[in-house]
Amino acid sequence: MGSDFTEKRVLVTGSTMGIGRGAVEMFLESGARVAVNGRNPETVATAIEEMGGEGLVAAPGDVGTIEGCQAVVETAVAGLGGLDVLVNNTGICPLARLLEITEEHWDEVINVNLRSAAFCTKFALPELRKSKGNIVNIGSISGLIAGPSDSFVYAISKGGMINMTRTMAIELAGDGVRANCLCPGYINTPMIDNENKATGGQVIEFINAAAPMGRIGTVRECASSIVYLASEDAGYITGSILSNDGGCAANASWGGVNHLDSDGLGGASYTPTPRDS
Amino acid sequence: MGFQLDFTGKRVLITGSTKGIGRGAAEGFHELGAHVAINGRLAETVAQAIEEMGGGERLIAAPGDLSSVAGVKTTVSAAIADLGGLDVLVNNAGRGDDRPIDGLDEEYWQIMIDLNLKGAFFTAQACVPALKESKGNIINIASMMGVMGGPEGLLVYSATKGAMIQMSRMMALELARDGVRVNNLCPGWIETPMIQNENELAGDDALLNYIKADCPLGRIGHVDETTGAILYFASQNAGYTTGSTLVTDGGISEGR
Repeated sequence: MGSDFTEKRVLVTGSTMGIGRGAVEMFLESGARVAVNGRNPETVATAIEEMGGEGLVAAPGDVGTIEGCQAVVETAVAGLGGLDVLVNNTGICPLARLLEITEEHWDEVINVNLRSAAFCTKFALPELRKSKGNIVNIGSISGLIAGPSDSFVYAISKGGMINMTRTMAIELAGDGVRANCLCPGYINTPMIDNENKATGGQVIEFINAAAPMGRIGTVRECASSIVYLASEDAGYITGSILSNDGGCAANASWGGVNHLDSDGLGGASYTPTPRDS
Repeated sequence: MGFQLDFTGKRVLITGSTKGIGRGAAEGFHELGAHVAINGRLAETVAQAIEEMGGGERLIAAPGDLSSVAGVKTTVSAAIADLGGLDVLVNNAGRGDDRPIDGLDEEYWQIMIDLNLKGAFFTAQACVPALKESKGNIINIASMMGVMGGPEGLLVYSATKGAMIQMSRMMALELARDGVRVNNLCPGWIETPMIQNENELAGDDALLNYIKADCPLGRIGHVDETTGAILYFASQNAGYTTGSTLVTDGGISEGR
């Protein structure tokens, strides 16, 4: 079935750690050859070494610039001998609240999170048309519903990513190129892990309370959704927005309101009054 | 008290209001007693629009280019000073899109993002202090292209409008405890000069005929219909409505 990626060529941007890295590992396990991207060539080399090297191509470069997008895609295509799947995963989430957001903050987040996906797609298109390949954009639950108020521009960029995916899908459908968007919720990445350690375990406690499934998601659970969207099993799926968040978006809650009352995590939560039955 | 629309003494800034949807909203607020700041890039166009609306002390010229943060800051602070505060921001300035993915370049991307998204964000940010004072509200004008994908050539436009909807939700949550509401209007095909021009360029009423065939309600929307929705959001009738998205598109996005 479609989970066999033998001979398939995949580029995952922002893939030296976290969700991107998990996707690389799972594509690799499924038989694909994968280009690994990060800004720093040494970090990319280390990641490739840690993953065993075989089937992996280094495509270092900063997709926050348009020249960087072009260089990364060209390196990946040259190293892989074409391209079947582009995963637009690179993203940053520097924190700033509404009135603190500066033009520099805005430009950085929009360019790295949103513009990178538009331009990596543009540069990858000639190859994707040839291979009738597909694109997986990584959105976020924060592009679907409002959440913590210090990741404001991140949320805006992800809202843009989600709807941009729909237009991408329509524009490219005639070429046989699919485009979909995966929206992760809280996933157990180094980013969350660091935050959790810094707050003495509060982050995980908060996530366990906020997520309907009562736990954080694993990187592998997220990677498998990316691989699915990229696979032939998803051959009739395009323009689709898939949540991978333990039910947070369905419940329209991933902690936004709780953040209104405190600068830290947690804050006030609503406990229903117990009723006699 | 029932359904009432009265904006006597209210102070309203509408970006991109010399024509089209913004102009319609300006006329609506003005008729209902508000003081309205009219914005467009050029001072002459703004002056002309104000003259066409009959002039008077309740119409204030607020010309300025909102595609740069510096332009936003100058324009918004002048408008708020001239209005003596602010009760309603209608964040409407924006431009259309016609570039397939293969033709994207940095300049084009930036032109689209700077006005439709970055300008809208910094306009809202610049209005927040005054809106907190008045417990006012913001209406962001997105598009049906923010809730669904568009055909070839609308990639960046649909990205900016999807992002704008999410921006409204975030702002709604952030400002809720300050008593400031933030909502979205997503118009579909509306009979504005922009669409009329496109129709003329296409020839043989090709665009209007397409809209008649494509839209479940079988017709183009009128500016009065977007104005009605904007006035509703701005009024106390929508006092418990925040972070909400209202789509006025004749049913197009529902049928997809």
